Amino acid sequence: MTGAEQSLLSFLDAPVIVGDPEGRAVYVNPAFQSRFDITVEDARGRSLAELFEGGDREAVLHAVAEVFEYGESVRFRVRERGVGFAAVASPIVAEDARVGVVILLKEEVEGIERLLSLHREIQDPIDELSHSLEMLLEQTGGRRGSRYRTYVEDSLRALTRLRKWSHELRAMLSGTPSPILECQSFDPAEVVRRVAERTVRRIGDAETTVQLLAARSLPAVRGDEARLESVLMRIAQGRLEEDRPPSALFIGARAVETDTAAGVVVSVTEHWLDGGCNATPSEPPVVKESVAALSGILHTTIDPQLGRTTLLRLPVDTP
Amino acid sequence: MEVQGYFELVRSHLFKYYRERIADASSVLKVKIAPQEIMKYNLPADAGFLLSMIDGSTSVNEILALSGMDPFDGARVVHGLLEAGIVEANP
Repeated sequence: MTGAEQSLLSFLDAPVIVGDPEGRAVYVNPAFQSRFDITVEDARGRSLAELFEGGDREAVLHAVAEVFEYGESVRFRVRERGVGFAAVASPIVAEDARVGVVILLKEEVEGIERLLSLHREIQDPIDELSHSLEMLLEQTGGRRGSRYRTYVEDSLRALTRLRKWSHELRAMLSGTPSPILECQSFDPAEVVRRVAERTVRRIGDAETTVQLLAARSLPAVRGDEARLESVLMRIAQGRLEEDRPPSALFIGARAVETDTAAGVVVSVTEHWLDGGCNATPSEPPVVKESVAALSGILHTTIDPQLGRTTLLRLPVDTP
Repeated sequence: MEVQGYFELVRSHLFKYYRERIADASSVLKVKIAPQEIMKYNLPADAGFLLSMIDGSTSVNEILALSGMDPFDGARVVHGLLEAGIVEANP
């Protein structure tokens, strides 16, 4: 590292560490020295992980290893004397063309710390609920208990979704993407079937009939199935809560293929006994965001005679 | 997407129409014609598949569920078989 570069880093208020291709510290700026109570001389030559305490060492070690392996920036979190830092480790090319690492630390906003603490608090009741429901499930084996068994199974599935969102929230707060959710794929027919079953149960004795229009299996689409299930439930529930609920609700999915791409169209279609509906539904932002997160397209078609349909076109997951 | 939207709307109305024409979903389907005559109809693959499941004791609903087909496609095929007089529905 050149003297000019070191000089620039010394003006930064945020702590910065520079490591060599072996993962040893070659430079720490004055902000790092004061916050972590260490001098350049003491830090130089030591493993980057050694500059941190306890569990943070593992996070640093992991991040540095990933930077060296993939040559991409890695985000992680560390704590020092009760203060949280959001850190980003990035590759830098040294003078001899070997790859080193630079770690920039940014003090956490208090709000994020509070959110992380709340997130930890939420985990306990989730675990307790899960345990209680598992116990209840064991007691609903007989025929008389079958109705309650459905409720308990629904609750367990809801908890699974809650865990997923919780996991994603934690990943977002930690500044890391959620690789599990991003790279998985699922059969949309399964989701559509569950949504139709849940909608039927929610409707109860209401006059709307619900029909499922999907084959038993469809091509897999990429993304998180809990996200699609939530979106469809929101759309279906929203339609049923409107001033003029439909006489029939069709929840369907089918594979479509165009010249350019294969996809799956998931639909929520409504009929009214006295004709169609002229109102364009304004989908809540969370629906639009979720469809975008599934790389999908949302569209509503309204016909005064035929009814109304909301489509979600999702790209097929290609290996 | 607008065209696909209209496609879905028409599809849902056709599904309703087919189901109404099939009438009672718990009725049992029975093949009306002799096996050698079936060949004359040059049936599409999905119709042949459903026809092979008709045994005179399984209901329309059960056949559609067992087939794993999209309910719309299943109802369309059963409706077509009834209209062509190849099968009949007995309560």
